[in-house]
Amino acid sequence: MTLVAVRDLVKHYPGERSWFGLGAPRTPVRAVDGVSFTIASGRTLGLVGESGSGKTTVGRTMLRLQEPTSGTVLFDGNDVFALDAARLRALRRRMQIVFQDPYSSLNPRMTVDETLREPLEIHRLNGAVSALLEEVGLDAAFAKRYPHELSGGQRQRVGIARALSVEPQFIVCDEPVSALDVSVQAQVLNLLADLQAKRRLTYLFIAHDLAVVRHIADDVAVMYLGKLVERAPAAEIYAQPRHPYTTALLSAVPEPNPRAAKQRIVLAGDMPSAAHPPPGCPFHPRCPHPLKSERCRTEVPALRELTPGHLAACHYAESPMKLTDSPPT
Amino acid sequence: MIFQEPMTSLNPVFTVGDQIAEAAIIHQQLSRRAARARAIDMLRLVGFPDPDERVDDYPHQLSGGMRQRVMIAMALICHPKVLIADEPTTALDVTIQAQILELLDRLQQDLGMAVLLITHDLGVVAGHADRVVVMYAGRVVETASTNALFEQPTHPYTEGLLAAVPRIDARRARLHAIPGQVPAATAWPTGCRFHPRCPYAWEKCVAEEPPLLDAGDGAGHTARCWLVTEPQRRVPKR
Repeated sequence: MTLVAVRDLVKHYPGERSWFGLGAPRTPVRAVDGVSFTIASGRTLGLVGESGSGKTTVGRTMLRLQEPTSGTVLFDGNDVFALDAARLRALRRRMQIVFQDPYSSLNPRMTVDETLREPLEIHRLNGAVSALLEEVGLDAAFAKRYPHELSGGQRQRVGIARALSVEPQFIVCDEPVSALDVSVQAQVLNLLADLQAKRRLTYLFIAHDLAVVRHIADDVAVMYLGKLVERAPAAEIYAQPRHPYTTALLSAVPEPNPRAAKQRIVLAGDMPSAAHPPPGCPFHPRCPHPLKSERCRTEVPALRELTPGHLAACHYAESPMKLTDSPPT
Repeated sequence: MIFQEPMTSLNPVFTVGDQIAEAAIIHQQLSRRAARARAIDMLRLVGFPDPDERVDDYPHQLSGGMRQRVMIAMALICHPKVLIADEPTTALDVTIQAQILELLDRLQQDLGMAVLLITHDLGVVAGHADRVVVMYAGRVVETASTNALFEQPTHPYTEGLLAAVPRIDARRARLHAIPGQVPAATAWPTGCRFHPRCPYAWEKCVAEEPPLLDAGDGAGHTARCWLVTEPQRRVPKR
């Protein structure tokens, strides 16, 4: 059953004015440009993309931490953007977020106990802080500590406990492990998986690390320059990527195996600015696909279904690029 | 030396050309004009587009990948024999990381320098290093050729680290996690510094710190672990 449905979500930031706010406004930044997906109850969607692709904006806009430019988000049938303040607050109890940076997302002047008690008070819930701490693998003695007394992994556990305190159904995990060391990262990923199994949680897992996403996600969506370029069940996207950007992204991940003679596609150039996206397919200036043509420069490819559940936005998705197609580097 | 964070290790008020040329003026007594020409050559070498014009760009006009290329150009202008690259790609996206690592490989081959690559990413190590030194809590705990380290990790920390990495080539049901965290540098544990987190530790590990012991593959594989002398104890307690 679908718990969250995002339809044609758009978020444009107005361009900054030059001359310290006195000059003409600049071109708006199209951070999210028509993104649609659904997440079934109890499942995890991995949202993948590089810096500036708009993935964090999608997560924050879905919870209405930022107002969208247009589009709809349905949460269990409720239109999130149409709710008044009181009903939005009630709904927020059911959807929470774990932030990327465990160093800046906790109030340094509040103890762990105060941090975890605040959401309970706001929503007038009874809950025991000690039970929450135990659930995320922290000793009850941590309740008296301040964030600066905690390691990165411990802080992230507190961030997870805070999200869990109001017993949500849906959690946006915004790069929850990118700031952590490998050995601690594994602890937190295991914790998220255990909590999901125990509480039947639904996750939107935002990350730039494809190996981490493979580990936790049931379905994967890949973003490039504010648009979804591919969406598929996890096993399928890793075995048979259809969009050349996904193929390149997968090939660029360094594998911890010195004998893997890996074919790598090294993309030229950087991601263009979202204020000035290229015409046609947003990926065409960097695309290594051998069939790339004039059509890619002029016509925006639609995200279309190729096989049941597998969507890609490439004119040539029927003949996906193979690693051997890339020019030798 | 190449630093980790290309955003903060360039001076924002000088052009990239000035910053690259500075070392050549100081160390090789080149004239400003000659140093500038050399800076343009270096930018070309590191794959900078339009080096003749963009030599006058300021750091804020460049992307992260381009700034890291500037850092590499700065480090290489005096033709060093050793290049220390401290997490050169940690702050970069994966497609840009691939560009920079490929560039470093090419430059190493063309210029014949030795590279000390400091990184926490075992994938980067596997793809680019010949030999590996693993450090934990201020100590070298294992050294080996790259193949030997990944195929026969000897120190329990190396073993745990390799098992903790999420793999893109296979989905595992559960990641192996090393319990606990690195102790504070002011309060190292007694004996082996890894023993509080080690699944094999016994009394000797608490009492006495092991030296780097020859792990016996004949290729200089060493590990700071008593298991080398008592391999029968490699049975996890949990």
